[in-house]
Amino acid sequence: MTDKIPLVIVGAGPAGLAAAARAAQVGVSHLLLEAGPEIAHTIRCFPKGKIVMAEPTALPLRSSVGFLSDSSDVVLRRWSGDLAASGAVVRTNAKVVQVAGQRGDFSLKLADGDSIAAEQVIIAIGRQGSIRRLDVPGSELTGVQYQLDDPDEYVDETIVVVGAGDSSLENALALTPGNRVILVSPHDDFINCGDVNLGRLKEALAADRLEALNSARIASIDISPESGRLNVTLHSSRPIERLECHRIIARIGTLPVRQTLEKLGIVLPGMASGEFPRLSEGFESEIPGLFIIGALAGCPLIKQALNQGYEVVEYLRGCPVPPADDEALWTKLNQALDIDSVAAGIDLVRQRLPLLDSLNALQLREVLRDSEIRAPQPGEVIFRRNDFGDSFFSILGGSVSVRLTYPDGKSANVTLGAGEFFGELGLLSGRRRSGTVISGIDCVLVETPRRAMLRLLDLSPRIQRQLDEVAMRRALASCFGTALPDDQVELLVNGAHERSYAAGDALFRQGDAADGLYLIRRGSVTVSHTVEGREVVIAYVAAGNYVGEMALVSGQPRSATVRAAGPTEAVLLEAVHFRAMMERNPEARSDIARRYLEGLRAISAGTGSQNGNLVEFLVARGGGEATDMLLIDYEMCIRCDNCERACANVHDGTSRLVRQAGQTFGTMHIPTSCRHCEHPQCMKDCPPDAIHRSPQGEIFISDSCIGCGNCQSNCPYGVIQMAVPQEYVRRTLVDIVIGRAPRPRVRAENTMVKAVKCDMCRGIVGEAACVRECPTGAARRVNPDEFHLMAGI
Amino acid sequence: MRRASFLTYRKLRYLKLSAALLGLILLTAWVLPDRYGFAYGGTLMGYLSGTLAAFLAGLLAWYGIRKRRPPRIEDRRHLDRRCRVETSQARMDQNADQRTRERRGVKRHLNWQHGGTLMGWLSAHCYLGGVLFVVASLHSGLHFGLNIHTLTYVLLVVLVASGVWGALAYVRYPLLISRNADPEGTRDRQAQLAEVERKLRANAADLPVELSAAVAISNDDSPLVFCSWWQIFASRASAQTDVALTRIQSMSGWMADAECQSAVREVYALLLKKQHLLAQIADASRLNARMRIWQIMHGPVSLAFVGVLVAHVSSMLVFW
Repeated sequence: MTDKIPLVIVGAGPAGLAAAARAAQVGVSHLLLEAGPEIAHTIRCFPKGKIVMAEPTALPLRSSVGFLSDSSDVVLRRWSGDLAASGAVVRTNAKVVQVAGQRGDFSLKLADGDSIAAEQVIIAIGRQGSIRRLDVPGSELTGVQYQLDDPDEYVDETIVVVGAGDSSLENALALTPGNRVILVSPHDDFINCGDVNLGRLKEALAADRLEALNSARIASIDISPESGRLNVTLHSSRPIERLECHRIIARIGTLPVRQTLEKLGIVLPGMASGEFPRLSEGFESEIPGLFIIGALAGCPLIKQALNQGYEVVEYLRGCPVPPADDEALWTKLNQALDIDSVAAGIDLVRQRLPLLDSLNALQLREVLRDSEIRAPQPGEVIFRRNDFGDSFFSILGGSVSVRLTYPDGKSANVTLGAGEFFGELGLLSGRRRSGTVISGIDCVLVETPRRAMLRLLDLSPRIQRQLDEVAMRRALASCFGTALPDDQVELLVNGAHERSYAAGDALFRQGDAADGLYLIRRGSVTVSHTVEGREVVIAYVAAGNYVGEMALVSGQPRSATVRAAGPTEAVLLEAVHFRAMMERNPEARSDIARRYLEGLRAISAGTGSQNGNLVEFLVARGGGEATDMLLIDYEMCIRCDNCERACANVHDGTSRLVRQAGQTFGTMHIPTSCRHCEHPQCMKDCPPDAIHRSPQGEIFISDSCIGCGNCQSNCPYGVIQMAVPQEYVRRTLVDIVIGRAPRPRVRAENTMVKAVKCDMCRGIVGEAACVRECPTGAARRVNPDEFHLMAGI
Repeated sequence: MRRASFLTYRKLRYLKLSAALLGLILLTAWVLPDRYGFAYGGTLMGYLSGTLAAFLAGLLAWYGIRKRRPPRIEDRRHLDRRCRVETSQARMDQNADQRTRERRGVKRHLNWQHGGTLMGWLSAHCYLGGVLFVVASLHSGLHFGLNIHTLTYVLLVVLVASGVWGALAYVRYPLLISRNADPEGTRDRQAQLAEVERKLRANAADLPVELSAAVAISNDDSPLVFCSWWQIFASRASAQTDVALTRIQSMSGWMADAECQSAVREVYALLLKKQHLLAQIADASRLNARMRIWQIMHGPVSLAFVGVLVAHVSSMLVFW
């Protein structure tokens, strides 16, 4: 055993690199251990030419190695150069298998049997190194791989891809040209996939380009003696199946953080499964002398990791620097809270907000950095009913008063105090705000934007659970009025099940026995009645309401079929609990009885008309998830295309709607134009985060668009185009007299292609140009709540 | 929820306005003593009605410009910033008018800032056109001669007549056009036709000479008439296909050969499909042309009218 090294850094990813470089710079004797043959293995494995984004842009970089957004090879070259220049000591091919001991007396075992003694250890191995591997006999054979570098490398092969997530699906689809690909998923469906990938999968399956085996798992792998290929034994719903293939690509996710650490022999008692380690301000874990930074600490972004590498070295050499975001956080926290340091502020936030209790300091900092802290005046309106907004509010101090308006027109005031939150319905459902919130005395709020909140929910199942439970209680209260006492709400909540549906799935069918009441939490549903063997839509019900009460009241089978209009989440309250609640609550009973009679009227009115088909048509073409849709009544349209010209006039010379394209039902035409969806898919994968929803509800693309085209391919309705901004040239009087239409001019200073789509003429007073410039009034904008009016139901 | 058409815009706002205006004019005409009996350009009533008519004519002509030249919208490059400022102001402004929160309502309310809606303009254009006709007739006092003044009146009559036709066409034809259109739209019909013609050529090549010659007759049919206006007067679009069909019906030689028989059956079905498609395309084109044909008259005549009107007014000023 050699002498103790003062500092050993495990993992030469961004965090480890930065730590080693800083240590070398300030003369801390150290050793950087890397399991692979080269540094920054994960980034080396990025697809060729992929741009590495330096996000978040607001965070200053504080590191001894440089970093700017660029292609991966440029970034890597820079890091190698900077690391060598700093004089850091690196040992590659040194895989650490065990870390034991504590401050001043650590011992690290390497895979090659060597052992290293260290005084302090920084764990910076990230999560990509702990890819979940197949745990079956034969998984060590060559040909079983856990990543795909270049799909073009393989031609004419039979390849088995394992996994139910986006990465497995993307790999499988990338391999389909030229190979036979079999996708094996352990679940019934590809539950962890985005809708876009799911659509591509369905397409590939329909075209027989891909084979998929659901609910299947690999039992063992061996080498076929005749061909030398891999022989896979599969367990699935069918009898045991054997497959011969050239290679297996398993993309089954990464290990949970706790398991990753435990594999190294590091046991942190205070850390629950599915959570990140609790760390001090200096990244020190519960084991003294053991520091954890980077993705394992819950900060997956490269820039954060680089900063942390720098900061941790500063901390352990005794000159701690405040984290890079300290200054920004200080200005934010100081103006609203009475604190003397950022750390105290963070502690205060954690104390006051039980919802965020499970986050470590780093994650909490990140949430606060993305959030805004507001101290509104007493009586100030935070948001109003029917506003669009998807940010989430937590109450740090004081109180707010919420004025709710129930479907029956009654309203009620609810007061929320410190530690509670509101705005979750807007966040979950993507719809307008359901109530008005007015600030009370000494009110301090944390406003977290949707993106940050969704990231948080993704990270922490506990927060998701807490949020869901409160959301369910509130949904119950808003559906039945405030009349329900707490113990009954409790009873209902405990007997509730969450269900989610894809577009077109039936919640229940006409003639089914009543299983309970469905509260729609996200998305929307159509209610249809079967007439002469055909389903005729008689109503459209949006999130925040309930369906299925009729059969519960009457005790008869279901009188209508209810289907999800878009991706929908509902909460099922079981019939038993619901009936018990009704018996004890005369007020709720009378409310439901009234709804029952209204439902009967809707059925008799709806079944007679064919207009229900119009609602069905609109819903099938995105109306269900729309918030505002352009429709053209062909009974009035004189096909002058003034709508397109008017659009081009106000939108840089490119019309965002195409009148002739799109579909027609009867005389109602849907041109290709943005529907301003509740949960816009275009927003999902925008590298510069350029797509937003304004408080008025329109989805727009800001100037920071980089023209990557992700939104264009993600939009299911094909309404986003890539175009160069042009200057619309107004016709002169002479042009009009001689009938000349000048062509739009490209602005010399701006020739970059950008994504363009309808923004509902945001920022222009008056109605949208397409509607305002329609001479016959054929063009109109409607929201889904108006569909039934339009169809005359 | 049937929305108002341009004729019933805002509960007949412009019909009511026009009726009121007309009432006022007739009342004035009745009150004012006039040497020439009814009215005449040179009388007090003549000057009044003439001025009003010129103003109305200007307003009506402006519709043509307003339609082709939507109002200028300020440079949108600054909009992002402006919107942010507005949003934060609205947030801070506790007493912000509730109405500004109702996006649609307020937006409609503010349309006048961009010269109103085009639908409103069209509605006013139609009814005020009628008023102009009455006022101009009053102004003329029904004194006609071979001069520029009468020419102005005649052009006006042509304009009003074509305008009435146009208004009726705009109400009637859109529905007929969408009834005629099949769900896939006209463009696809052209593609279908091209496909049918391709199959016809391929199949006809294998047929006996006289049969393939008969099929070839239908090649002369084309839905692409050089100008869509022409479609109104064009003869039946499938004329040559009809001939080809009759010709094949009159032949019987192919009946003997089973193989030939099935080939002919196929070709005959294709010809029938072509006939049907040609008729549909021609109908669509014809309806479209009928909806627009009045514009041939209305547009150029309005230009001429404005010119002649200027001459009429200036001659009056010169010879005063």
